[in-house]
Amino acid sequence: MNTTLNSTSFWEQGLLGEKLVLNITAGAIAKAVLILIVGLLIAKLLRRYLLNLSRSTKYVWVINEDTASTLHNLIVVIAVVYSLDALGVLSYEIAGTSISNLLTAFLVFYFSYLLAKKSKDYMIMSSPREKLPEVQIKAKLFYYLIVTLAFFIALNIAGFTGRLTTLLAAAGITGIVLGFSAQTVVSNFISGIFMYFDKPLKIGDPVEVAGYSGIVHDIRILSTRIRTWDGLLVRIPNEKLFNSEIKNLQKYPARRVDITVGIAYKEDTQRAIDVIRKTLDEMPYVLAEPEPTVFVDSLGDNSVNIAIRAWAPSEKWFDVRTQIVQRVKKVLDEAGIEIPFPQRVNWFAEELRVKVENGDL
Amino acid sequence: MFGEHELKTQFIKVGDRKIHLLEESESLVRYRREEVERIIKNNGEKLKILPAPATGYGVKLVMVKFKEPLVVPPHDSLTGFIEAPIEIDVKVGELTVDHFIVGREKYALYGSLEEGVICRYHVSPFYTEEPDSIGVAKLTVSNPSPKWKSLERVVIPISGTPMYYESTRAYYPLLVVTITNHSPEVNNTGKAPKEGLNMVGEGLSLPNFLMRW
Repeated sequence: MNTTLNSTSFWEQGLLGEKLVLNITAGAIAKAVLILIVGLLIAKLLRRYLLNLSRSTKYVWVINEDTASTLHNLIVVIAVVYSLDALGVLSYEIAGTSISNLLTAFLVFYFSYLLAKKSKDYMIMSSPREKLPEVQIKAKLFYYLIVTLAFFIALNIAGFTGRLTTLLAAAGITGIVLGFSAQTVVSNFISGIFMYFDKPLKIGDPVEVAGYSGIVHDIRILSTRIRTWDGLLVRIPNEKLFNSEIKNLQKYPARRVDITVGIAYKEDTQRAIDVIRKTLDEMPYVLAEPEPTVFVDSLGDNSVNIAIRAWAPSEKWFDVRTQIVQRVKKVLDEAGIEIPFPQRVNWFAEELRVKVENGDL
Repeated sequence: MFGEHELKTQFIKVGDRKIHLLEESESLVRYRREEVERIIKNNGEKLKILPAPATGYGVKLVMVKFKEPLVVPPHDSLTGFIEAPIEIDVKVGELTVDHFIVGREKYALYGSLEEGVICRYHVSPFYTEEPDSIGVAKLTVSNPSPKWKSLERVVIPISGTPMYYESTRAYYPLLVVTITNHSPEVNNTGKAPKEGLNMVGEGLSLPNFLMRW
């Protein structure tokens, strides 16, 4: 007890006890500066140590540059708080609450946010590849939950909870206006949650949705991002996505390739069908089961149209489609089977007469 | 063919494929297979040509359809062989320098369009003696039920399966198909189909596969 009294009095002895501004003594300022310097020193040393450790550790996901910076910031902020406490500034009040409470609330929120972010990253990093899309969404939900909880806890610590309720109740009209303006955000948020359970698509799926076609790049809490086939980013609000027709191109294991090829009327259709069937049989990704079908589909204006219906693994569909077209053309050429140009035979009601001028012959 | 080969100028025939090793200098060997080329520094280590399960572009099952369906009496079993597709791993030490498919590559959908799965596909007769094929699987079909049963195909789990080989032939582990009252159940035992074979991987049994369709 005596020691404390002695140490406290040390900062108030002699010159240190002189009041400079706002009743703050020179001793308090010196103490605050000292705390700040020691804090900065410890922060820098710790960051350097963690950076060195991150180069040799196998737990890179936790001991890395990011963690080093976070801890550095944490120590600096704590040092600042203690410095302000030494100055006696924390006892001042702003908006009906003490600065001490405000700072504590901010620290609780900030470090809960960092913890949530780290946990989210870890959940994603440690998940097996096949479960990644599902884990990504779960991790994000967890992250938003923690941040929301931390926000309300921080409000409580700051002593704003009661005040906020009163404020909202008092400003009824403002509340309604805010409600309407937040309607889209809330709607997108709720749609995002419903989509999580409905699972019409997952990250990495090729889809056609809301007039766009591409790969699902990310599913966020308010919107879904699609990378189109030509490399553009399209952000679709979850509400719009939820109400749209979604065509998932790889939901099922196999997908059918439909191609029609026309051959000349003079050709033997059965021979053409046999040639095409043999080609399909030689292609690895044309599935043996369900068996491909090749048949005369229609008698067109210029050709006998042969339909090809072949199943392929969904992820190989595009390759199979392009290969079938190319190979069918090749084998029909090799077999001497003509793929005709459009042609038209004209009949004239009266016989055509050719007038030859003198001297033209 | 299968096994270890010295890194010196030579041709190695693997099924329908050919590997060409060419000594470029005292310590460098050029590995060539069709369009694939590697330059390997020779330190006395041998090139290993090993069989691998037919996973193709990443499938986990092989479906072998019998040319003629098998018919098994009640409380009886039969043992025989089928041809099975395989792939080849070319390794130096533990590093895979080349991987390729021998024979015909074909896939099929096993199951329904909504819930099925893509697997490697092969058609084979059921042999009572070992067939003259590069890839072979020994199969015991057992019918413990009190009714006659038929089997048209077998779906083999191959993800992480050990493989066995002798100089000219590769073997899948012994397969036991039990035709229960409902669906056939396939057990990839992980065990060698016969004695005197070399093993690739760990000789562990895989989880049983229930042929629902």
